[in-house]
Amino acid sequence: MPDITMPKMGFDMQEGTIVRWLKKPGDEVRRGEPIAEIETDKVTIEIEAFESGTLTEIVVQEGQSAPVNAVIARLDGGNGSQAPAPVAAAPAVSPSAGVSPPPAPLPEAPAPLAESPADIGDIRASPLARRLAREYGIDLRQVRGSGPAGRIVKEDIEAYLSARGGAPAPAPVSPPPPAPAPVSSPPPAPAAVSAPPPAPAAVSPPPPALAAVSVAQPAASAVVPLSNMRKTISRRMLQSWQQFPHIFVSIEVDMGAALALRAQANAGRAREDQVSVNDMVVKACAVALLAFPNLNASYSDEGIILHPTVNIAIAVALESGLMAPVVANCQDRSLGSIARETKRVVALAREGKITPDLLQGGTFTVSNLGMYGIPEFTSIITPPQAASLAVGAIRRTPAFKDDSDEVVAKHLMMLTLSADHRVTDGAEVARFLNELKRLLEQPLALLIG
Amino acid sequence: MPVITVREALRQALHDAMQDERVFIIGEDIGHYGSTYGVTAGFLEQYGPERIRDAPIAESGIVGIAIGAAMVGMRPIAEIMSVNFSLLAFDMLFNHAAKIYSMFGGQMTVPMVLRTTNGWTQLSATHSQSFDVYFAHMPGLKVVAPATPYDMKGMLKAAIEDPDPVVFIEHTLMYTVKGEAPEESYTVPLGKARLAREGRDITVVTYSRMVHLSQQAADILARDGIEVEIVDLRTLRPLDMSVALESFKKTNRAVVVTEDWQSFGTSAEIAARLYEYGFDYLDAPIARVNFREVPMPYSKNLELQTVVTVDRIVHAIRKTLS
Repeated sequence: MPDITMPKMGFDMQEGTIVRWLKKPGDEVRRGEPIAEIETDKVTIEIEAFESGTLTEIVVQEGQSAPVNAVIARLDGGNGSQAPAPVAAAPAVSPSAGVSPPPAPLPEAPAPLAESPADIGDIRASPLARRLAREYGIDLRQVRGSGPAGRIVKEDIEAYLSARGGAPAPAPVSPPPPAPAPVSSPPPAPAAVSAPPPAPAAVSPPPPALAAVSVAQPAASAVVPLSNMRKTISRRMLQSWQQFPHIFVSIEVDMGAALALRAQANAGRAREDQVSVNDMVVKACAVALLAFPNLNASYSDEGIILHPTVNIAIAVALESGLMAPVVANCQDRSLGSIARETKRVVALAREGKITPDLLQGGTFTVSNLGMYGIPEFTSIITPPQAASLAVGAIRRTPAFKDDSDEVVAKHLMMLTLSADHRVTDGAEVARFLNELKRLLEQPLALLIG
Repeated sequence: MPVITVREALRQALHDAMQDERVFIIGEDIGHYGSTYGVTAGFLEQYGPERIRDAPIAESGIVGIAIGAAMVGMRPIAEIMSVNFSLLAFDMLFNHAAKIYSMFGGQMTVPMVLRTTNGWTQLSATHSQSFDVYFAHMPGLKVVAPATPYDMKGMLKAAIEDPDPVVFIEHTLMYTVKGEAPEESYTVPLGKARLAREGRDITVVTYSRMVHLSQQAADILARDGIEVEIVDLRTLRPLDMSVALESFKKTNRAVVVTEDWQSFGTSAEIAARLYEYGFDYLDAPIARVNFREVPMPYSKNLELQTVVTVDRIVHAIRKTLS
């Protein structure tokens, strides 16, 4: 009687919510048939049965959440003809680790693994192997352990990844830094003894502020429960703000030439084929990032990871929050291709139909509040990226013409880059922004590059 | 750079320290006899009986005198011939030297150095011990156990200049170990570990004489293509784990080698810190190589079964890599 478990739909998915059961107990289920809709941090998606049989029990009800790999329903395997291999936790619809295809069953998938749908906690694996499995979205039950007593070690995870075909890819992208390295500096001078005693934290009463808030909360205030998306945004923004030392650098760009070029390019084109100012900014970023690989990167304790492709995430405001679908391989795309792909992924995001793989693998983010008339703003870097560009509105502004005293109307736009100061420094960011400015002010290069 | 022995490195550091009028040396047989391991040979003739003080067999008194002198501004160096005899001075060391600074509101420090030596070689159970862990357990002390002539010289100088009581641990089987050390005066800071050998496969965390045995083990394993990285802690308190953790995060496997009994020993603390701060990097259980848990036998054969050998280190590394 195989269990149906909460699949892992993305490398950072920790739990999912059952939106709707498409089957009820007693229903016959065919392999591959959708059985439920689940909501992950960012998407709502149908999950399919891996086996045929009769749905005997729903463990997690609609509206309830369950951690990844938890049993959500039970299936009676029919007459038990072929005890199905419990690959249950393999994701049904989309790859579990972003880029790579769904894990093909390993050729040598060993019998012992198939026997018991062991809880992940029962599997012998080193802490390092467990961490890597988490980061790559690997189900440890599918990995064969080569260590003593079958312990899964780092090598086994690496072997699994390469067998799966996915390059170990952008290595463990910046896990949260480990506990501050202990010790190291000897206490100063006579301090071996004299360090102040640790604050008696354990004894102190709970901070009064907290109590006050909960007591004094006016009857009228309402608490809106956090949606999964809100929780994700909150977790990742907090992580970034706490752990990524941000620097902010701005530059003003004269968009006159870019607007003229855009008008020319769009003349007579169908609306769905038109190029937006944002598309031009994205294209300029793609070209500039090739010259500044350090900004298309991720910080890790082992070193700066330079990403081989430029995958630009486009921040999209939704009623329910914020999402940043990724336009992959911008380095190889023409301006037109960027425009079309952006329209496609943004539409999917707006319609709630986006798949996890389109939300992963971003290496740089562009966020644009120009349509709201915001002249300039700053954005928070999306971990584990190294930089995020905030694009302001184009303002028609009186300005001096070149070096003369003549005042003319210019179309000025402010760009502000937030960058991870562990990866880069102000001067490099300044050079990058100047390159963006050059590309946007002489935009023919965008058509060629 | 000249190549000198550990003994010569210590002599140079002591001669250098004697330039400071506040420094004197007190201990058993350090004057007329020139000390059991020859470190202070000739010092009495050169510096006179005021500053090179032969003491009676009274370890508690030797350390007590050093503490008192340190409190009133001297820089005493107390030599306890063998660490086994330091047991008689533990009250002085633990209840006085380690605590005076904090118990008297920081009015005075105790800038003394206690030089002593670990070791064995058919000296039997009461004379073949290592109490590194007892010293290192005590807040208020600094505990140093270098491995090379370079560090011996630089860290003894730093210990003498240090405002706190420092236990400086040598090893009878290391006095003839050779290595490069500059002739001029220099210090090596206390509380800083060092990378003794680079390698990508496994981290050996160790200190004192075991650094040299670990190097030999690494040479043997290198023939099989196994690259061992060795971290020499150099100081046990304050314990600098940053180098070891950095290495461990790279290799994901570690063996801790210390020349003391395993239970509650220095290797237990070192391994605990690796687990505590490196848990997510751990790919195999951490192994430890130490004395077997018996009072040291006199019999040569049994003694060799009890102490740490290169073979045992090699075996532990292979097992941890399997």
